[in-house]
Order: sequence, then structure tokens, then C-alpha cells
Amino acid sequence: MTAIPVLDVRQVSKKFWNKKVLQQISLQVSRGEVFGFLGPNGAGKTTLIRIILGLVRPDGGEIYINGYQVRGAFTRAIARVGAVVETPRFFPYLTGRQNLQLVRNLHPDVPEERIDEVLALTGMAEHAHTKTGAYSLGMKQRLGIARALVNDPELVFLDEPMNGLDPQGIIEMRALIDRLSSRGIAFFITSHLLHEVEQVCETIAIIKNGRLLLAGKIDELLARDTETVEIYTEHPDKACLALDNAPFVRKRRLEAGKLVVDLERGSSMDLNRMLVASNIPVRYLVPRKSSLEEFFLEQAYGEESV
Amino acid sequence: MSGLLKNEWLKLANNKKLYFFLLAVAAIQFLPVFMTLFLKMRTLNGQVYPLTMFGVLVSFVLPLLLLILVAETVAEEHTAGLLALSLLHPVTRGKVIAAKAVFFFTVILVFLLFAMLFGYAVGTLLFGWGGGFMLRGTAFPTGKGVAITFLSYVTAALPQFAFCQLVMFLAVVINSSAAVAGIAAGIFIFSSMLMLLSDEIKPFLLTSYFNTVPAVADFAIGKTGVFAQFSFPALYALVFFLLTVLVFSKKDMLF
Ligand SMILES: Nc1ncnc2c1ncn2[C@@H]1O[C@H](COP(=O)(O)OP(=O)(O)OP(=O)(O)O)[C@@H](O)[C@H]1O
Ligand SMILES: [Mg+2]
Repeated sequence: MTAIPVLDVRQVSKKFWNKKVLQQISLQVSRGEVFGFLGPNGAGKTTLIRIILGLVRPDGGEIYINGYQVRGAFTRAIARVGAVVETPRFFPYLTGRQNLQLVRNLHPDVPEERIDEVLALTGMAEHAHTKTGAYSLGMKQRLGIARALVNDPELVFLDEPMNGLDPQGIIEMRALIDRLSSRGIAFFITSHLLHEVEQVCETIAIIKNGRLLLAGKIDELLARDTETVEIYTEHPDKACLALDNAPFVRKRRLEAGKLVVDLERGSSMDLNRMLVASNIPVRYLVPRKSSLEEFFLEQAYGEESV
Repeated sequence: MSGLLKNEWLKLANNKKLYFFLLAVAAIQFLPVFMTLFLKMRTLNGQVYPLTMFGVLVSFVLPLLLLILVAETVAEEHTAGLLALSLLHPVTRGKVIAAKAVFFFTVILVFLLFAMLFGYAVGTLLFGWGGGFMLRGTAFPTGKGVAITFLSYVTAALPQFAFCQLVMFLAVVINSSAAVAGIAAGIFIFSSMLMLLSDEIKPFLLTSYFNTVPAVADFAIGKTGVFAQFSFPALYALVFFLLTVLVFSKKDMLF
């Protein structure tokens, strides 16, 4: 049994005038998955979201949401989708609650109480009766998410959701995404705050100049042929000497009070053995995960930053 | 569709603009009071009062208010990224346009009925109900007078609606709401002028159909051929509605 992906983008291309904004983009998001879509400014992230949502027509390619094709079975495809595209927009002369009411009115099956539920969920209940024209950016972001949740979606698009949130807000947002995804809601998140994506997403795709550079599970993408280990010891110079001849050490460098070593993957046991054999007292041996941020910079900006 | 219509009214009812518009309509309806008091122009009574300013209302005031309203609720909403919001729900683009059209029709009816009732109220309070109804030199019994007044107001909704459809079409083609309002105002003024210049072109100008009183009065005295008066605006509305749906269905929503 193969489960239908909640989002299936196949070979989508789009030109604006003569500029190729998206080229043969394909990706899939499965139920409950949190998918991070990364790329520098102008890479085409928002354009892809607009195409998926049927706001913009692709020049080629197909999109399926829950098995329904966006062109052709639009109303079925879109029924259980929520979205915040770019900064959320509201009718400024309506209150937060009235802005959500507009969405409720388009989903007759959604009960009236759902509005208060999502307002509470996003911490916006106390501002519900304020006109949105007077909202701060962070409040708009929260209300935007509340609005995306009104129709009890299975797939939610968030374009830069952390933008404008205070540290507390970011923590809450992350917790909210975790909680909702564990209930089976899939998220498609674009972000520039890469460590946010790392903490929230299981899968990422990186896009640059309209081309998908790579896509995959974060764990797998980061599992490359080297691993990095931090050695905490009173005698870093001695340790350096001892490691000089080790065949499995690729690189080593001293950082404040510790020795950082890049090893061939799977050779940390050998390292440990060698340190013990050389009689070097080690306080800790800590594996360091290469951060997605480094990885992202390398992939997305690599060509320019050398 | 009913949800979309509900939304349009929820927005308008909370928009100060509605109340300024109603105020503008009321101010126009109040003008004959000044004309009577200061210029001793004519003797009015409650029965004839609502039709006194009718021509000015439907030929100038209402079209101008409507073009502002349509430019705002279509072009302005579009560029502000608000029109795209309703497209993220299980409604087709055709329905979104249809709901806007029905909404404009209901707004026109509200404006017209408000103007009529306000006219009756002001006229009767200030000048009394009066003995009879006079229209273009012909006297009608009270009941018929009320019927003529009511029918004139209600049927005026059709040409106004047709004008809204034209503006709506402009609004889906041109993104800037200021440009839409400007071009619509230009077409409206040009057409109103042209109408005065040439009797041959007159039947092909929408503005010729704005004032419905002559047609309704003719109908009241038994003249036939009146329904032809309403087929032109109806056709005009239909054509621009279909064009609007066609363009909007294909449009890339980039805001
Ligand atoms: N309306 C438009 N007309 C012409 N080109 C456009 C239009 N909208 C976007 N583009 C171009 O398409 C490309 C992708 O834009 P898009 O907004 O999708 O980027 P993005 O990845 O969302 O960027 P950001 O991180 O800045 O939000 C850009 O090069 C942009 O210049
Ligand atoms: Mg963007």
C-alpha cells in the first residue's frame, strides 16, 4: 500500500516574460510531514506556492493535492488547504475575528466555534476584537496562521512564518507546528531562518534560480562521508601530536579550549582508542552535527562565496 | 456563493465609505428643500418629492459613487492581495465574480430604495403629503404615483448594474484602482456628453438608459415598446459580465 502524498508537484515550470522563474520543479510532501523550502531571495519560493494554490498558472507541469489535480478539480484540491502567502493581508477595517469570519463563511461545514478555537490556539483571542489595521507584524503573522487553520486543513503553507515574531513567539510557533504536525497536518514552510527550519522540518528542498538543487530528509542530507568530533582535554597540543599520523583524520583545528577534528565517517572508535593509547586524558568526546545553516550556505551560495 | 455574498456585505457594512455614500445620496435628495426655500422655484409635496432629484441621482451621483466602490472592491482588493484570499477556498473564480456582481446589484438597490424612502420622508415632513401626483404635466392618482415612483427607482438598478459590469471589467484588466476609476469616469463623462450631441448614437450609449422615469411614465399611460428600453442595459451587463469572468479566470494573481 502506497499512501498518496498530500502534495505532489510534478515538473512545474514558469516563465515571467522571458525569465525562467521555475524550471521542472518536482517534489512531494507526505501526510503530517513538515517540509522546509529553502532558497535565497528571488529563488522562486513564493512563485511555487502561488502556482500550487492555483493563483498563478504554470507554463507546464501538474500539481496534485490529496490526489486531486489543482487544475481540473480545484475546489476539491483546495478544500483542506490553509495558506499564508508572503506577509498575511487583512481587511484593515475589520477586526481579527471578522477577518476569520470571512473564511468561515466560505466553508459551510466548519462550525462557528472553530474561529474561537484557532484564535485561542495562536494566542490571538485577546486581540480578536481589535481592527487588524492596528496590528503589529507579529500579530498579523499569528492571525495569518489562525486564518490558515480555520478550515481544519491537512496541508498548510507558511511563507516565512517566523518573520516578525519575538523570541517567545518563535518558540510558540515551533511548538504549534510540532503539535499540529503530530496530529497529521503537513506543513510546507519557506524560511530564511535556517536554524528554524532545522528545528522544525524533517525534510527540506533547496531551490536556487528556479532550479531544485536537492531535496531529502535532513538526517540523510547531513550524513556525509565525514563527521566532526570535539575533544575536550587539558592537553590539546599533545592530542594534536598524537593525531598527526592517524589515517582517519582529515582535518584538525584548535578552538577555545577544545580540539575539533573532522574524521572519516565511522572512525570515532579508532580516535578514542588512539587517544587512550597515547595516554591523553580526555574529559569529553562530543560529536558535532554539521548545522543545516552551513550546509545551506554551501549549497545555495557556494558558487558566489568562494 | 451565498458565503461570498455575505462576505461582501460584512466588509461593506464595516467600511465607513458606505455611510459617506449614503450621506451623499441624502444630501442630493435634500437639495430641493433649499431650492424651494431660497429660490421659490416650485411647490413641492411629499408625493412628487422623491422624483425631483431622481435624474441627477441616477445620471451623475450614483454612477460616480459606484465606480469608486467597484474600483475599490475589485482593483484595490486585488493589488492589496485581498482578492486572492477568497481564491484559496473551494470557490471557482467565476463564482467570485458572480458574487461581486450580485453584491453590486444589491448595493444599487439599497442606495436607490434609501434615496426613495428618504425623499418621501423629507418631502412629506416638510411639505405635507399633498393632493396629487404630477409628472410631466400629467396628473395621476396617488396609488399610481407611488407605483410610478417605485418602479422608476427599482428599474434604475438595471442600467446602474450594467455600468458596474463595465467598471468591473476594467478592474480585472487594469490593476491600478486609480486608473480604473479615472478611465471609468472618462468613459462616463464622454458618453454623457455624446448623448447630448447626437440622437443617432443615443440608443447605443448606456448613459441614455440611466433615467428610467420617461420609460416608466410611458408604460403608465399605456405606451408599448417600453421593454426594449431595458434590453440594451441587460445585454450590456451580460456581455461585460462574461468578459470579466473570462479575463479573471485566466489571470495570474501576483499580489
Ligand atoms: N510579477 C512578476 N513579474 C515578473 N517577475 C516576477 C514577478 N514576481 C516574481 N518575479 C520574479 O520571479 C522570481 C522569483 O520570485 P519569488 O517571489 O518567487 O522569490 P522568493 O523565492 O519567494 O524570494 P523571497 O525569498 O525574496 O521571498 C524573482 O526573480 C522575481 O524577480
Ligand atoms: Mg517569497
